[in-house]
Amino acid sequence: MQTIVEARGLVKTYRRNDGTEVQAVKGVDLDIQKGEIFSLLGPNGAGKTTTISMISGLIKPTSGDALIGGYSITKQPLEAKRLIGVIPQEIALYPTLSARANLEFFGKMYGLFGKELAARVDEVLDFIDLTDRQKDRVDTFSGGMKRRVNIGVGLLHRPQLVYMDEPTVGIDPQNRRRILDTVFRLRDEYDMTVLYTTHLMEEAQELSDRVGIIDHGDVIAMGTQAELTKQVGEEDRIIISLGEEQIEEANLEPIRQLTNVQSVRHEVIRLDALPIVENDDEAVVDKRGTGSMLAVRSGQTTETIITITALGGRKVLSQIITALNGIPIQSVEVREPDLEAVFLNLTGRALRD
Amino acid sequence: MNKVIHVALNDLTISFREKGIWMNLVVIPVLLILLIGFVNGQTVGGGTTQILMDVVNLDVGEDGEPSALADGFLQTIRQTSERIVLCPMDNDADDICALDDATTLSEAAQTERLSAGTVRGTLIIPAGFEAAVLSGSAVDVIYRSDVDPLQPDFLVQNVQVAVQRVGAASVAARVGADAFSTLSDGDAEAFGAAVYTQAEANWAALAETIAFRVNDEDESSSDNIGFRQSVPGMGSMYVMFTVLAGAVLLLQERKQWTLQRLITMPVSRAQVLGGKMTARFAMGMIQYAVAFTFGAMLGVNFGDQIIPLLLLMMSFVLCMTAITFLLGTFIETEMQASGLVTFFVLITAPLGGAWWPLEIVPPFMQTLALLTPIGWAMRGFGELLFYGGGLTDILLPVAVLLGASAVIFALAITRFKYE
Ligand SMILES: Nc1ncnc2c1ncn2[C@@H]1O[C@H](COP(=O)(O)OP(=O)(O)OP(=O)(O)O)[C@@H](O)[C@H]1O
Ligand SMILES: [Mg+2]
Repeated sequence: MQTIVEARGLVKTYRRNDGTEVQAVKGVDLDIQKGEIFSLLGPNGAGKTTTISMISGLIKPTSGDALIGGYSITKQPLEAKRLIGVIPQEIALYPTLSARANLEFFGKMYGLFGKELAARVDEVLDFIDLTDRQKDRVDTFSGGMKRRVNIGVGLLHRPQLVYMDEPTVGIDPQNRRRILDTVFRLRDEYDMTVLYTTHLMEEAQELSDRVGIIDHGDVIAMGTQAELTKQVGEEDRIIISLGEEQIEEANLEPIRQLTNVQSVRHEVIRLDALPIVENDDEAVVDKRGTGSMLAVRSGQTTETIITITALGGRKVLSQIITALNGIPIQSVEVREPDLEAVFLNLTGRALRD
Repeated sequence: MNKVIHVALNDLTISFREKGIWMNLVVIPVLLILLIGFVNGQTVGGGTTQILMDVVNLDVGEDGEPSALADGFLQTIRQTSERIVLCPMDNDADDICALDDATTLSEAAQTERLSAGTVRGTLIIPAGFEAAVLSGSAVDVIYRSDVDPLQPDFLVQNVQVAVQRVGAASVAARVGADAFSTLSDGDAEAFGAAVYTQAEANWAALAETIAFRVNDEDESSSDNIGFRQSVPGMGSMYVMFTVLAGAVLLLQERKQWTLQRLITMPVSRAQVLGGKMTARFAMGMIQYAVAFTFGAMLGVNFGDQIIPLLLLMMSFVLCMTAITFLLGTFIETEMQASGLVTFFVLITAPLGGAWWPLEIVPPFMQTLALLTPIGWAMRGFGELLFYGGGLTDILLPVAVLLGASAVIFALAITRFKYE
């Protein structure tokens, strides 16, 4: 395996207007292998965009450096930038120009001209499925279409390496599906390496060959999904929703007594406001619980969630339900160790917070 | 280099896609050129109307003949516009001056004629005018009119122009005399007179070539003294608006991340910035082209000093481009940007002489004008379009504008934020 991005000790300190300093990124090391999809997973404000901005040459690191295909992004920026296609989190397009005019202009900035430029623009328009709308102004496009043009611009020069910064933010499920499929096509059909940032565990899980988890400006874990989930052990999480039903702490005691059960906690979530944390330990597992979408629809205002960690979750499930001794259950979900659990384990917080 | 041009072309395309661009680039400037042109040349309403001005020349020698300098002065006034009729000396067979055969005018008669509206203005050249000018001491030429003194007045302008010219010629005489003050009194005086004559002759030659003279062939354009003010004035003011609007565009580009996206591409920061500056510069020159083309359509004769005119325009546009990018380094919202731009333009344009000729404002205002870029630009345009100056006459304004541009660009480039 060949390393295409090798970042060492990246630090970015911003100075606010009031003079105070914010360390947005605190010493990030990254290794991205050629041909893989690498996800940088972290909550809002974790430092994903700042990291991408440093390794794409947009902002100068306060310290540290990154080699892109062997070129230092700080010392040989032009050579390094030629290898990268950056797809920013924002829709970085000229709204009054047509899709084609945007692609043509940015293509020229990548050094494409004449017939080659026209051919690449046609190719990209076909790839993002906007050939028939190419003459229309971007500001007449839907959010999903703009996202696709935004992606297309970064692919014009057939980069070896593509950075996609939260490309699915704010779009409908159908367009999101399309974009996720695009990421696979970039790797499988075009042999590109993709660095993908997201705050959504599901996306990282579906896409990534390897994942880096970033929080408060630090990469706190990096590896394949199997490697990461191994860190949290073999425990499954069993999430039981009781709907509006309340439960006494004493009623959970029989569950705690079960062999294989590691921990039990419960919380009541206000569905019409922010969640109330009933237990004093750590935090809410999943704000929206399991059945909450159903609950919201049925006009329910609170939801009681019991979260149990146990080895071999499915096997103890029937014992747990028996132990609840007739308390009505709205839904049950068994989750195998996942990135969410890894994040929870490392930070004590849920990703969605 | 190629990429610089493409960045510039892209910016120009985007500028021309902006809502209201034709309004701001063409319609309003053209209307203002017309309006301000008519205001500045107001006394010259339609076609071939003559403007009467009473003149009492008290600077006569013992032989009763007017002094040479007073004569030159009146001649200068005549040359500023052929519509001006000096009474009584220029009265014609039809008694255009309505003098009823009188050949001289008393002061009382003058006052009466002025208040009756027979004449537009009254000029009194005091006794000892020539002697005072030649010796370099102060002398007042009295001009009276029924027009609000704060209003730019066609006649005032022409008298002012004449005063300036005579002033310039006599200054030359004085300098000559000063340098030779070691000579005996009589010699110095003779020498001074000689230098004056020379300066006068030079100036007379100049007068032949100045664009200022009314276009003889085209009657309809004979009131273009007003447009000669409003075309460069309103043109320069709109150059400011058009170029400085770029500060808002920069803000938008940063907000919509296209600027950041450009920086992640294999383009250097210098190329990006260079392209954007080129585009702003081009917009400014296009704005001048609009104003001067319209001026030419109105029949204004801008003279044959094309190179100095272009040089002056380019220096001013460059200075505005620099200011645009300086604004781009610290402005944070579009409101702030358009507020500052409007404030800056509306303060400096009248101060700098874009609305009316600076010759009619008090000296301290004329000094204030030199603190504004547009003041220097208008000074240059005045040299070229009113006084028939050439390249050497605009070198100072051009140097000041270019110097300011260099300083402002240096500040802007070092402070410019791309993210
Ligand atoms: N220009 C800036 N000036 C000051 N602080 C900044 C600046 N840009 C980012 N930050 C701060 O740095 C931190 C990291 O921001 P960054 O945009 O990298 O996060 P992110 O992981 O991309 O978040 P999101 O998922 O919301 O896009 C945040 O706390 C943010 O407020
Ligand atoms: Mg971000």
